[in-house]
Amino acid sequence: MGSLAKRQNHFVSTLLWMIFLVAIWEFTAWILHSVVHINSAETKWPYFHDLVINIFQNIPVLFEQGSITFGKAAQGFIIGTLAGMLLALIMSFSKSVKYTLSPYIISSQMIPVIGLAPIIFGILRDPDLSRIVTAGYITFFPVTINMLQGLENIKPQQLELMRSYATPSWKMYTKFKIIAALPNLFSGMKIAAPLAVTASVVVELMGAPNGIGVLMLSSLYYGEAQAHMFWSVILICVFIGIASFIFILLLERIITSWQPEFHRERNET
Amino acid sequence: MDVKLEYEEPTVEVSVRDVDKVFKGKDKEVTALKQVSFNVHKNEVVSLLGPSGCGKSTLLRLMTDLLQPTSGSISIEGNDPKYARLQRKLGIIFQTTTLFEWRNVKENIELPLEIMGKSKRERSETALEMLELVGLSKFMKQYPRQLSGGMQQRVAIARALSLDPPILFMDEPFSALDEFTKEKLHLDLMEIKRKTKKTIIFVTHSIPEAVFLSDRIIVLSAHPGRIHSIFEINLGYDRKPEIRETKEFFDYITQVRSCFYEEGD
Ligand SMILES: Nc1ncnc2c1ncn2[C@@H]1O[C@H](COP(=O)(O)OP(=O)(O)OP(=O)(O)O)[C@@H](O)[C@H]1O
Ligand SMILES: [Mg+2]
Repeated sequence: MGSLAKRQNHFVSTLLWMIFLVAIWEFTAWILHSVVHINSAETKWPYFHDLVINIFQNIPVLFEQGSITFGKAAQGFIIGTLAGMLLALIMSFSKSVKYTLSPYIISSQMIPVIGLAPIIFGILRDPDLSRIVTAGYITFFPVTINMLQGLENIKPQQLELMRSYATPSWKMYTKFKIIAALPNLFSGMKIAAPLAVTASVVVELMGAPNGIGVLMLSSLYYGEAQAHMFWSVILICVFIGIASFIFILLLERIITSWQPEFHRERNET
Repeated sequence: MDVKLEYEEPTVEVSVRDVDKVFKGKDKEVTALKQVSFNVHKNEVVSLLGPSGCGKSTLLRLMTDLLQPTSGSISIEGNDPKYARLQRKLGIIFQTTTLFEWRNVKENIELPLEIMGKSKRERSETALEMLELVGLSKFMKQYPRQLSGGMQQRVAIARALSLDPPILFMDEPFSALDEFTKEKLHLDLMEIKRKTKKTIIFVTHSIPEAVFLSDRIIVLSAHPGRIHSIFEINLGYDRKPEIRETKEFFDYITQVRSCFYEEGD
């Protein structure tokens, strides 16, 4: 019962924070619009309530395009996660593979998404596939790195214990290392999830027939007339990013419910 | 029975011969053990006693095939430690809790059997039996995080026993526990020894603990780790807590302690 009260407290304080932030936004908008009178205030800092109204007026199109972007990002994310896990397993299994591949994996991440997207788009010439591949490409790196760290940062005495049971090496992975690495895997996935959404949007900016990125481009094209739409699209992107992060967070709580941090009493003072 | 045992030639279970262990670092070598030789007999409880860093854990790891000696040889029941490990003849219990966080108590005890490929029913039966032995039947559905340190160690003991290995290797299993829990677990271990007839090799740096539990105490000295002396502790087979009050008990403690002072520090 005490824990429920604490959770409610937590919820209330989050809510208060959000109200506070919105109030600051509105106040800043008011200053810019009605006190300082800057040029094209609607483009630079619209009122928050105008954006909310705009979002509600355009719910069908935002939802439709948003779910296309999200869908492609999610497909890429899943493929990227599986590829990342596989790569991490192979690298943890063979040191020589690890040292051979590491430089390529790291340098692959030096290419910025903004430069990568047109390359992938140019090669594949298919907007759906390009989004999936780019999202997957962005996902695999944090997943591989974190999962590999999890597979290697295993408690040495647990490892010795498993050795003393004469554990065959595949059972060493299925019964022990992979499970022990799950919290790290989830850390990687939490980093990757919002990035995958961004990757998908960037490909859309390069020229896809649909998706939230296309809405963004077209509303930019019409300038001030579509300023609210542009901002709404940005908010939707943020929302999708946060939602995907929270989704992974919940998944982690369900799958690795044994993690001590999920059972610690919250002491808020 | 006791009388008969005395005249029987005791079987050598573990034999350590002229073992050296040198750890080679980047720029320096550490000689952890030098010329260590001893035997452990069947059904015997032997303690390895010594100050921190004298190589007790290293010695345990050598005997359990987790490390290889630089020179010398070790045999377990006449074979090399690797064979014994692959035959699952070695039960190990560490100081820090090594329970798997994602498995509840019963599942932790079942793990070695699962790896061995035992059937679900067999696993369950053995686990329940082991839980009974360490008195934790009520807690089988709990997760390690929900248990006290002493309970966690008892689960670790139950898990090590589940494979029914003839030899238990315990590396400071009770060091992290409070006095009350420790004394309780000493008695538990006595009972386990009586019921299961295990050979126990017990690492500790507590003199009273070593005296209470052991048939023999091997005292190691540090830098490099070598055998300083060996004490026979004749306090009987099944020891009751009252022994701790007796003069013999204190005499043994004094005797063992004296060899740490004669070195001049
Ligand atoms: N893997 C290793 N690499 C290098 N040196 C090591 C290694 N393991 C142990 N040593 C060294 O060997 C010596 C003996 O270590 P060991 O852990 O066996 O001591 P111990 O008697 O178990 O000490 P404690 O009572 O603190 O557990 C120490 O000097 C230690 O630094
Ligand atoms: Mg040690």
